[in-house]
Amino acid sequence: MAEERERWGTRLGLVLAAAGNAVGIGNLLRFPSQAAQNGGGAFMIPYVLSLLFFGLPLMWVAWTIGRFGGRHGHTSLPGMFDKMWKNPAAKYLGALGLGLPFIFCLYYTYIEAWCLGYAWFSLTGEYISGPGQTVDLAVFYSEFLGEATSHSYFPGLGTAIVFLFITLGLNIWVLGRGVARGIELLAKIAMPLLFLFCLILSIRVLTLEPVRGSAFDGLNFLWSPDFSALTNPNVWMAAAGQIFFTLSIGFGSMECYASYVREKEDIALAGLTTASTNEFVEVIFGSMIVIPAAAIFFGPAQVETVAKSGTFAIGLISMPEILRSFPAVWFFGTIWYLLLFFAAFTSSVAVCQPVMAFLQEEAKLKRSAAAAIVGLIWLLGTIPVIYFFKYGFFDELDYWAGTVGLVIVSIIEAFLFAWIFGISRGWQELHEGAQLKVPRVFMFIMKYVTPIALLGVFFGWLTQANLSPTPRLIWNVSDRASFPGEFAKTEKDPARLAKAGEIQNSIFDKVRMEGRDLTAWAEVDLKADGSVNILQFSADPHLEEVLTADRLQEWLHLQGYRYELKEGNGPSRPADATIFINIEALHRAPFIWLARIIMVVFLLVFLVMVAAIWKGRQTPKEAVA
Amino acid sequence: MSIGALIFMVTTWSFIIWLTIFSFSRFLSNKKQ
Repeated sequence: MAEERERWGTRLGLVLAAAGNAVGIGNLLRFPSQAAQNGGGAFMIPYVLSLLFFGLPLMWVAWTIGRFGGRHGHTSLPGMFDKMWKNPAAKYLGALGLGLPFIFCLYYTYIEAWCLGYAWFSLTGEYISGPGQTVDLAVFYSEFLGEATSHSYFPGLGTAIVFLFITLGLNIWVLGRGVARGIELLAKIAMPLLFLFCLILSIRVLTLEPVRGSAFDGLNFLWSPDFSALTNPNVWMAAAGQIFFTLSIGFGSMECYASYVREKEDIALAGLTTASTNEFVEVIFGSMIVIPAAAIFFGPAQVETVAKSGTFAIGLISMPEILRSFPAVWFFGTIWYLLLFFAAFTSSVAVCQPVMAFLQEEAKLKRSAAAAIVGLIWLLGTIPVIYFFKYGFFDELDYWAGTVGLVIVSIIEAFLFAWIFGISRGWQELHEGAQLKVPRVFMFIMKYVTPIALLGVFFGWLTQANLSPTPRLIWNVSDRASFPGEFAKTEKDPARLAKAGEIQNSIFDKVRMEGRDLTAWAEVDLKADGSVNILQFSADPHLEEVLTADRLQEWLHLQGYRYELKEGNGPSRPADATIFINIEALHRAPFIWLARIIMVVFLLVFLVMVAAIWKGRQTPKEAVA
Repeated sequence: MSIGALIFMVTTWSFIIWLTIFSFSRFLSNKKQ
């Protein structure tokens, strides 16, 4: 039997939950990285324009569709689209808006679990080097995720799985409690904490004594305008992409949240408040923590390298490096990762809520049954994400479901709203009960500019597709923890690096030919003068056809691979080391195809469910006709 | 910090802070539903 329709308890709860939906890890890690790489201060010109011409209109479209659907008893996109467009295809287009975000949840929860894990590691001092125990944060991160060939810090994936179970359990618990008692309560606790933690960390970073640079060097790097970047279309794509990701558009979650509002709620203002709160966290706090901290610790010259290293490398390799140099790392490290965890947690429950709502409202399941089903599928779907992470399973889901797929849903939504439902009708619906009158120019923007901008983003991202997966080479120093120095690839000469690349390509060709993973093991003597000697070598016989001890020696030498020791605050100097390395050449193709098959199966399941539910609603006469 | 960076930072932050305060305060003070 269906339960009574859910509603938000308070307006503050609604706006906090909607802001929590939008605010995610990307606000604090992806934004500064993108801004620093795309023109610094000048990035803000396409960024603010994207917000006005692309982000805000889509936010209003989402709130309008959501409230309209909610009024007709629908809390997820299939029902909403079906009400907006009297065409049998509408509900199936809506099914895409259920399946793709749910696939996103499968891997996003894993990121959320990493943040929880790192909060725990900060509290317990796990990533702080001690006497006789060096923590190489890149290896620490790789081992935690199971993509390293060594086991210096983690014996296996057990730790990551424990944090994933906790994270999944918390998500399902919140979803199982419902909208007002679960999601809204979480937002009322997590969002004020998120703001408080941001404020504490910002003050801490800005008041740190300069080491290799000052916090203001970081702000200067981030905000100095490079106007020449504005002539680069990729910078405009990056700005539009950042706005798209940061506002959580295309997930169907904002529509779902909007479906629980009262009929005369001011959704024009609610949409604007959601977007502005998200921008506050992103533009203010997002620029005050990571880049200034990196400038203090690594120096202004290295900030660009940090910014270009990517969201996860910044969050889980560079930031722990910085945080462990802070006094009271157990406090600042813990609140930094709890901050990221809360940002992710409020987003993951939001993205999963449409599936819960679909099972409750359309399939007429009880909330507890819906939560149990969602939890089970979520758990089963996450298992390959964990175990096949090193094969690129995660990245494949992220590209198709979490990037291209979300734009497809947004394109459908934007066209449906402006061209099928009708821009005049949509405009009237948006302003129903609204005190805020959106300037009429946005009617034109919603009808023409936003759909065209979305198509531009879609084709831009589609060109990045890698349809034929390449193998991957991973290798690590065994027992890394016992070496106090750093292992580095120091070669900068492109010709020598290209030769090293040729050796790697010959290994990849062999992997493709054999159609399986190939492994090798070696004892290597690294000398301070830069020479490399292979003392022992053993490899899969097929791999040995292209990678002999001499070839391995040449490969390491071409990369300028060496061991460096650091004394006090002085520069690093090369040193001798005898190491054992394990090499794995991974055949990624089967796992990439498995990811693609799983995505298709997920979408088919949602399509079949929608078909079955709508068929069951037909009157006998309609069914015969 | 360079003047250019300072101008960009202060302008953008001011706009975002104004937008947040404007929308948040109006949303919460709006009793009509």
